[in-house]
Amino acid sequence: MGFINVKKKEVQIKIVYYGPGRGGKTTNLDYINKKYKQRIKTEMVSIKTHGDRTLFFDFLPVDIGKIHGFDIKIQLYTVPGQVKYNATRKLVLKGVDGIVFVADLQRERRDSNIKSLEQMKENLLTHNKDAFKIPLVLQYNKIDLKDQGIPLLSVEEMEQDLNSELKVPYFVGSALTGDSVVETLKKIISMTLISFRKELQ
Amino acid sequence: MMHGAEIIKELKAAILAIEWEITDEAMDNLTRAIESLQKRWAGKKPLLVCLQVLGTLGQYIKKSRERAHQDAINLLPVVFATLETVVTDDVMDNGRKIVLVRETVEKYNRLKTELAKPRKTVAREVFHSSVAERVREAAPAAPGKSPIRDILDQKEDQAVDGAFNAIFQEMVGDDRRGAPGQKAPAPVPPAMPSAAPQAGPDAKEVVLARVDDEEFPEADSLLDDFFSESGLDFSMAEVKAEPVMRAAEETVEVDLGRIEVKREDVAERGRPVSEVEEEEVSLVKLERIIHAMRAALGKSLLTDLAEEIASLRSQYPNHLSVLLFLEFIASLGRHLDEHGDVARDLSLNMLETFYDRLSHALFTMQPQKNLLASHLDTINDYVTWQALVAGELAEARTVAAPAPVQEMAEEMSAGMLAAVRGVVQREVAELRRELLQLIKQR
Repeated sequence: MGFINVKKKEVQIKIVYYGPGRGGKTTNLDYINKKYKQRIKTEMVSIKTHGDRTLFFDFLPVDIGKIHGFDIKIQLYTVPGQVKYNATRKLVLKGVDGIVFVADLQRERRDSNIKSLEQMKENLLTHNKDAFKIPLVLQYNKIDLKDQGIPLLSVEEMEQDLNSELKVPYFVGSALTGDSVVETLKKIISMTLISFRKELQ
Repeated sequence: MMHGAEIIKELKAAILAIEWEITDEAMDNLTRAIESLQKRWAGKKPLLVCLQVLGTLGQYIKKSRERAHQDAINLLPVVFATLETVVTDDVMDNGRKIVLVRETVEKYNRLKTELAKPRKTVAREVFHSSVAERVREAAPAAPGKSPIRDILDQKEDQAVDGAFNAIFQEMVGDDRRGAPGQKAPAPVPPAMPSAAPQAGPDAKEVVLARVDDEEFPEADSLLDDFFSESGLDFSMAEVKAEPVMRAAEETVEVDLGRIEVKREDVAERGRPVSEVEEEEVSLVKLERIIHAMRAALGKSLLTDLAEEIASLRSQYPNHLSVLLFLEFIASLGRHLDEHGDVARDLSLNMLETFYDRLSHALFTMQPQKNLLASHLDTINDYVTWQALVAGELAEARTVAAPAPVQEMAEEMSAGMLAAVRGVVQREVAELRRELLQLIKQR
């Protein structure tokens, strides 16, 4: 549910990075924050446990400019990946306009990816949203681990596991090195803005 | 021959797993455990009744998942606690056990009636950060509609929301103060989790649906411009450097008693790591007592509660955070002991909320700021609860009304206020230190 304020000529869009624990959601935001620091002009807020895991959420507001005179304000959030924080994940999903699902390419994380995606669908339903209708992009993260000999899933396997029904755009990348991080974000913002298009014209 | 506790071990594990998270596996385990016990206890009606209630609740929760009524999820451990008492308590006579089971079945029947009513639609609303506001607003409720019920219906979300907003506003506030002349003013942070309140009264909600076959050249052009590489003063080394965010290392260690942080398991963010084992905290007995109180509030349980609190106090003599929560829990226990008929449900729920916060604070090893928010929420909730109880006592024209309130106030001034003062002083000092560090860095 995006917000458009015709009087203030402003659009607010909420994008949530969702995915299994330690999949790289915060690293995605961290990369964006570092790389475009001068343009973003605001601070990223992140609340951690002592194990450096996201406890509540990360938040990064980004004003990307104007379309048809409307200021486009994007709010980027991550959810905590740990299994026990599902109540928090549900809460962060409230009012979401677009989702980046960050999946982990490591073979041993296969089940976690599938479970997390299924849970995301269920959590969306609690907010009367449908994973098949909301703007959604998949990111297959940690491709850089290939060079270290760590067993990874193939893109075909990832697609079969996660995207055979959803059929949404996906990117293979590495949040750590920045591969596909920007492309992923651009895609989800673009998809969200397309569905906003009529309102802006 | 197996001992009672051994026999219900699998069932207990299944119930605990469901409290943790509702998954197919957990629900299947529950079904299996129930089936196995039904065969073992054939002919033992009180036990079979408890199993039947557990089975029905399990089926409902499995079907409804996260949409299941919170009271159904709460009732599951309560029914189990009854069953556990019936099976393991060798001292309690059979008559009392049957009464216990009947009371539990009655709770289940009440829930069934509640579930049969149409669920109210909760409109999108601006968040209120404290129970106090809820109580005040709910006070003039329509006849037949319990304001307390409304509060409790939204208890879980509220607890998280309140903490969210408090922490969020506080942290963003720090960031903004800490960057004088360096950054453009940060936008006013949205109240978590909805952007609605910040969008303003003129804002219109737009339902966004995925559109696969369209393009929006203006949007793409804007995104290309914003995310272009030109003019960026950036290197990968910068990304790999230690983040400037408030990470674990910047927060202050809290004395967590027995908990030991497994630092060796903390890997670089995003790197493969072995799963971190969850820490054990010995609040099991306290939790069981509080859950059992929901099932059958009685003198013996209240005595158990007081004894367990005394035991925990002696285990954590210097842990101000634990002591603070225990003070509040003890105070609620004393109220229930002396005036159990006044604000009973609210007090029991408050008891569970405070226990949850204590458990969460210990379990997640929250950084200092989060603990402070949790403490302040708890103090605020307690003060509100106390005012409500005082009001109800006065309304009922109970002769003894002034006494317990006064007593509680006196108790607060002794043990509780000392703990509150200690915790707040320490946390404020740490926050000041962190803030000064941040300012210095910038």
